Amino acid sequence: MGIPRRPLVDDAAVKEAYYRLAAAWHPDAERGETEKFRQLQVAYQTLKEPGSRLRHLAELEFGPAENSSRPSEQMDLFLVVGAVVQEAKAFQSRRDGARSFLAKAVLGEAGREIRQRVRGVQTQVETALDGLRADLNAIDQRWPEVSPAELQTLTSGWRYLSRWQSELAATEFALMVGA
Amino acid sequence: MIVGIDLGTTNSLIGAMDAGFPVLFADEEGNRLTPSVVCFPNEGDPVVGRSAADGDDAIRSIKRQMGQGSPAQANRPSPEEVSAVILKKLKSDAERALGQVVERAVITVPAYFNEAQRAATKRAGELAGFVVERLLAEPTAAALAYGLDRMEEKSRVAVYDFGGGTFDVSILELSEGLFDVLSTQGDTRLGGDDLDAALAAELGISRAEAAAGKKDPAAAGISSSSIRKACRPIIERTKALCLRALHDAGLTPADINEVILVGGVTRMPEVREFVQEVFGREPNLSQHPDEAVALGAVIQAGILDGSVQNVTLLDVTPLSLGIETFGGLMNVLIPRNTTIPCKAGEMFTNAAANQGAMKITVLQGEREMSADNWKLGEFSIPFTPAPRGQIRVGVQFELDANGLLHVLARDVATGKDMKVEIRSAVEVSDEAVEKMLADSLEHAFEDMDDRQFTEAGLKADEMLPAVEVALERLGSGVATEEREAIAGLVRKVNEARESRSLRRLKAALAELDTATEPLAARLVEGVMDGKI
Repeated sequence: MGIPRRPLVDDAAVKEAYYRLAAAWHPDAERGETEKFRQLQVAYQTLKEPGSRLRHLAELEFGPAENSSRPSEQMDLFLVVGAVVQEAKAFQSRRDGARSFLAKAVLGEAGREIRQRVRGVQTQVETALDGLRADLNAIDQRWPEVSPAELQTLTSGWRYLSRWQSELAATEFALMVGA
Repeated sequence: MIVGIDLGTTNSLIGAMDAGFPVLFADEEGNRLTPSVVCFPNEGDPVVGRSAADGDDAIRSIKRQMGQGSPAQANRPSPEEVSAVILKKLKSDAERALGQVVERAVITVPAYFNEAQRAATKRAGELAGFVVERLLAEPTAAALAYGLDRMEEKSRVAVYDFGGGTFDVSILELSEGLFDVLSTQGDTRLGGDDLDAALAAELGISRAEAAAGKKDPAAAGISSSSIRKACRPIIERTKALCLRALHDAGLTPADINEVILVGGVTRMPEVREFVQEVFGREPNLSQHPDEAVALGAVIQAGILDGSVQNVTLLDVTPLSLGIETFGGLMNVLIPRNTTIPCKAGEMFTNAAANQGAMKITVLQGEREMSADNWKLGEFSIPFTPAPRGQIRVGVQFELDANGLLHVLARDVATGKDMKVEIRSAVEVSDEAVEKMLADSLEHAFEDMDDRQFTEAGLKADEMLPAVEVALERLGSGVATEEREAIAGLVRKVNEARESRSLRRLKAALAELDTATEPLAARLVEGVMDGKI
C-alpha cells in the first residue's frame, strides 16, 4: 500500500491507497484479482486501527509478541469497565423483559442513572487513551530508536483500551436504543 | 449483455445499459412497473402483473416468504417458483424491447436478506432461465443510481429504503467512482404492507382500501391524523435501525451529507418528516422511489459486462457469520459489515481417538446464543482414524460477492481438499413441514390456556409492584379519585387471580394497563425532564 512503516500513519493516505487498490483489484474490475483483493482487506483492517497496526509493527520489527501483562492502572480500570457493563446488561434484560408500559416507565429512572455511569467510565477510558496517544506521538518522534518493551506496552495498552471503548460504546448504545 | 432486475415485494422492473445510460423497459401495455402478483389458473399459463391482480387466489408479496423453504401445502408453488414466474415475464419484456435473447442478469435483494433468502432469490432467477451474475443489495443499487452522475464528488450518504415489504438503511462513502458501503441495517419484515395492515385495523377497512387511501387520503376520505396515528409506530421502528447503522459506521447524523429516499413508502409525507427528524436534515428526493433500485441493478450489470467503466462497488455482508460452539454459543468468524468477497478460516481437530467426523453448524446473526440466530446449514468434516488431537482440518468459510456462502475443508497433514456439502437448514421435506405444523397445532390447543394463565400471572407479578412504585414516586401528583380507581383495579386483578379465571384475569390486567397509562407517561416525562 506504500505506507511508511512507522507507529503513526496518515489515516487519509491509508484510505486513499486502499480505495485506489480496491478499485484495481476488485473481482468486478477488468483486471481484478480476488486473492489480492482479499489480502488488501486484511492489510487495510490492520492499518486503520492503531491497536492492530502497532501489534503488526511490533511483530515485523521485533518478532512475535510475548504475553505481556497489563499495567496495574489498566487493571483497575478494567474492573470498573467490567462492573458497569455487567450492571448495564442486567438492567437491559430486566427492561427488555418488562411486560407492561408501566413497568418499563418505572425502570426509566434507573436507566438514566446507569447511562450516566457508563458515560462516566467512557470518559475515564478516553482520558487513558489520550495518555497513550501522547506516548504514541513520542515513540513516533524517536522512531526507530525504540525498545521492544516500550512498543509492546503501548500496543497491548492500546488494544485493551480500544476494546473497552467499543464495548462501552455498544453498551451505551443498547441502553439508549434497546437491544 | 446483462440485464438488471429489481424483484420487488410490490412491483418489479427490468432494464439494461443503452449507449452509456441505464434504461428501463416497458411491457406490452407500456408500463415499466410490473406488479409482483401471480395467479395460477386451473388451466393454461400463470398470469403475472396487472391482469393477475383481479384474481381471487392471486399470490402477492411472495418476496416476504423467500428462503423459508417449501410451502406447507404440497400442491402450492414454492416462493422461488412464484418469483420465477415474475422473472420470466420480465425476461420476455426485455427480450421484446431489445429484440434479442437475454440470459444473464443482476437481481437486487434487500440488503438485510440473509444467505438463505439470497440463495432462494438466485434459484428463482435460475428457474426463470437466467444465469444470475450478481445479487445486489437494494440500497447499494439506489446509491449507484444516485452517484453515477456525481462521479467527481466525495461524500457520505445514507440510503433510506422503505419498500412494500422490507426496510433497509445503508451508509456509504462515495469517492470518485468508488462506492464503499460502511454499514447496513434492516428488517426484512417491515414495509408498506405493515402500514396498510395498521391503517386497515385503525379504520376498520380492507387492506386494499387502506393501500389506496394511503396513496391519496383526500380522495379516500381518510384524515391525515388517522394515517399518522396508525402509521407512526411502524415508521418509528426504522429509527433504531438508522441509529444502529450510523453507530456501526462510527458516524453521527451530522457526518452525513445526503439522505437519499427510495421505495414507494417514502412518498408518504409522514415518512419524509420522520427521516428529517432522525437525520436532522431535509432528505434528498432526487431519486425516483420506484425506479432507483432497478436503475442501480442495470448499472451493476454494466460494471460486469464492461459497458460501465471506472465504477467500483465495495459492498458488505449485513449479518455476522459464525459457527456453533460448546454451550450453544455462536462464535463469529466474519463480523457484520465486512467487505465482500471475504473469507475466514478455522482449524478443527478430532476431540476423541478415531472420531469419524465432526458436525459443524453454520449460523448468521448478531445474537450470543446460537439458537437465536439463523441456522444456515450443517456440514460434517470427515476425520481419518487417528489418536486424539492428531487430525487437523482447516475449514475456510467464504462469502462471495453475492453474499453466498462457500465452504472448503483441507486436511492439514495430507494437504488434501475435502468435499463439503452443506445441508441447508430450510430445505425440509414437505412431509416434515406438515408434521411440524400438525405437532405444534396439537400442542398449542393442549396447553394454550395453561400457558396463557401463567403468562398473565407473570404480568400481574410485574404490574402490581410497578403500580406501587409509580404511585409512591408521583406522590401528590396523583389525584385521590385516580388513586382509588387504581386501587380498585388492583383488587380486581388479585381476585381474578384467585378465581383462576383466565378471561377475568386478562380483562382486569387490561383495565389496569389502561388506567395506569397516564402514570407511565408522567413518569417517562419526569425522567426526560430530570425531575424525578
